[in-house]
Amino acid sequence: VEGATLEERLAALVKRSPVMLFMKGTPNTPKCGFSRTIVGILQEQGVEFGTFDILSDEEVRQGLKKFSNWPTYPQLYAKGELIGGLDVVKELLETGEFKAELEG
Amino acid sequence: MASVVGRGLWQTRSVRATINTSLLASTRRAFTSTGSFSFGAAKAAGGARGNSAMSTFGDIERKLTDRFQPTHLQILNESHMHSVPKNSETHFKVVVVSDLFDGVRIVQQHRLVQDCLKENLMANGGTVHALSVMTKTPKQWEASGGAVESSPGCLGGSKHDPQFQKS
Repeated sequence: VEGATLEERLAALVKRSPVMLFMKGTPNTPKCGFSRTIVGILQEQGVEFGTFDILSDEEVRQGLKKFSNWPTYPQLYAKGELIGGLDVVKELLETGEFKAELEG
Repeated sequence: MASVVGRGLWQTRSVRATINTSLLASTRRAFTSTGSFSFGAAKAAGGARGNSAMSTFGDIERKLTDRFQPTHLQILNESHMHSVPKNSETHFKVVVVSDLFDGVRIVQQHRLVQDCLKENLMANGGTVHALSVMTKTPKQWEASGGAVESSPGCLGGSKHDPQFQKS
């Protein structure tokens, strides 16, 4: 069944790296200010992360929003769990919870 | 008092709400259960305000006020910062300060706001493509001094985005 395959694919994709970022464009060529900013934050914080360009795959782009009940990009995952978008990351940094969230 | 950084006109509405604590308590229980969400500013300076009841801006204001009874609410239409036509209502930032966020995880606070506005999202037939969210409890808001950063600048993403290409 098509749906099951996509879901399996997404379940695997969010775990592809311990910290996984779904963004518009790539770290070197971001296509959105929010995506660029979150990449900058991760790099500043010295976090190793994998990325996926959601502009390159419409199926993942739409599917992931439903999969995680999160309507926008970028989306950051740690150990396969959604941390949130740029705004959540900024808040977590402010409250000092960011590293802890990444470690799950 | 909000200190505003960046371009655009802030529409600030300070809502002094009388909060009914027993209503809050039961609402908090409802909010903290994970439901399944189906998915999904100030007007540009000089632009016509239009009929705010019909516009996305007005709709967002009404929904957030009704749902969160915020002690502080800011809505900024940031569409002018992006590669979209003039007078668009595609990119918004909302700042919601409410006691309803007390004890709720940040990611869940943002989900609540997104869920409140889900009909306005482009994927669900609305006009909103990007939604920047800031949520705080009144205590956190006081402590932060009411500072709100402007959102990141556009990198022309909308130009590459099939969602924006009308046939």
